[in-house]
Amino acid sequence: MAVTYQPRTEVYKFHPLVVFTAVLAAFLVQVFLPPTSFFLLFDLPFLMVIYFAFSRRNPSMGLVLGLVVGVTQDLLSHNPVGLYGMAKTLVGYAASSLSARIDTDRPIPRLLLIFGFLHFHQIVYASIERLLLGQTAELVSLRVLEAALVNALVGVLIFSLLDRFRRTT
Amino acid sequence: MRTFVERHRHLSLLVAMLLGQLFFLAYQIKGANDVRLIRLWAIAVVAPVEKVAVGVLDGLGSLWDNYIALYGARQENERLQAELAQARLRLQELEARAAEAGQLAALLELKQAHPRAPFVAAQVIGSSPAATTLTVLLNRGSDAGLRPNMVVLTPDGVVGKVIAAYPGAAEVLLITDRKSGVGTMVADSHLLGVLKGTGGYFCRLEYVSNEETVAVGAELVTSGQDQLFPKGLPVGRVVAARPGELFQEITVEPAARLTRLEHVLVLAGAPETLGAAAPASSSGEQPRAR
Repeated sequence: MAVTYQPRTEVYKFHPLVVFTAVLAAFLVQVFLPPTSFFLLFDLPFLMVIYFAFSRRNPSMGLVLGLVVGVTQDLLSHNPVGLYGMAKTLVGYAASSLSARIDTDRPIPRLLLIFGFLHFHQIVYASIERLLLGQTAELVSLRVLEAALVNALVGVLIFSLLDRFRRTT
Repeated sequence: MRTFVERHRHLSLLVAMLLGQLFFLAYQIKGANDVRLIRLWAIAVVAPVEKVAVGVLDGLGSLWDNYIALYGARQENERLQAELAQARLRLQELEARAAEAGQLAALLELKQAHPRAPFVAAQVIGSSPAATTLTVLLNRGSDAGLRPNMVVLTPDGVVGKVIAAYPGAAEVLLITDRKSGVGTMVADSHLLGVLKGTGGYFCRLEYVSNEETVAVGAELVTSGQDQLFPKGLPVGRVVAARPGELFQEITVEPAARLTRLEHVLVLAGAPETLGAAAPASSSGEQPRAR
């Protein structure tokens, strides 16, 4: 008897304009945030990658969105192109793969997953910086912990807002 | 092979995307090749959007101040309260305009103090979308004569340097960015060091030996030894100093208010055109080796 895998979670669709507008808005808000110690903790484009990866539950879509968002961040922040690109590609892939197995529609799992994925993002980013650029980026620090907490809280709020625009397949 | 790729198409796509970026990254690092053309396209797309967004935000602020905020007061039908609210809004508006005029007057004063210096005034229209890079985007670019390595100032002090100039926009690396380094000296003792960014609000003054005395509150100015920043410009103030392994660990608060930048001046010429500023040149002393 063939055993087939049944996802326990629902797949959602978005109008392409919603995805584009949400990502564009995230970039615009991010560039207008004052560069104070608190606001530098925010990574709104990261939250968009996570949200759409969670909702679509398609690893290819997740990694492509991560790639586009990450490379755009690199281009606009004078980083070598690929630094954020690789980190967010992996985050998009991992988030969508994981969301096919666990329920990412409720606030608590979302909070914990954003918290975890921000650390994962930082570890990948810092590792690439260390290995390829020879810089001494921190893998884990109090600052990353603060960023993970802030983004997790903000993410849960933004995700519930974006939930209004999704459609079930 | 084809079957494997088809069976694991998500994983194959991931590997392909990562390898592509890895090779591209290696290409940029190995040959020190900046992907200027791609950045140029990205800025060409983003800068107009940011300019429009600034305009829309200003317009919305004006609409809020002049209509929506007053609408509630009118609805209350209390004439005195409405007048008071209007007067307060007007006062806030005037205060905001006065603050802006003050900033512009200070910029003008700085410009007039150095008549030979070819300054270009610019407005900050956005900042970096990545928290690890502290850059801002200006509304003036290569068409206004801006070039990489030009010094960016406010009347309070040094902001940073231009790292890329595009038509209609230029990118500025703030002195608080981790990749930034400014030749600096203590204004009163002429002790030399290098001001490095920390990626946060503060900077660090590096390469000052443990034997030297650096007082908390000491003013720091550019030393001019990096051949980039003109000598004597204020860069910051020491807020903490303690002995380290080889050199002191000195924390510096930037002189320019980098978290609230609106208008800046770009020195569109060689550092010599500015001439030495007062703190470093007035005593006529020579800088002291660290």
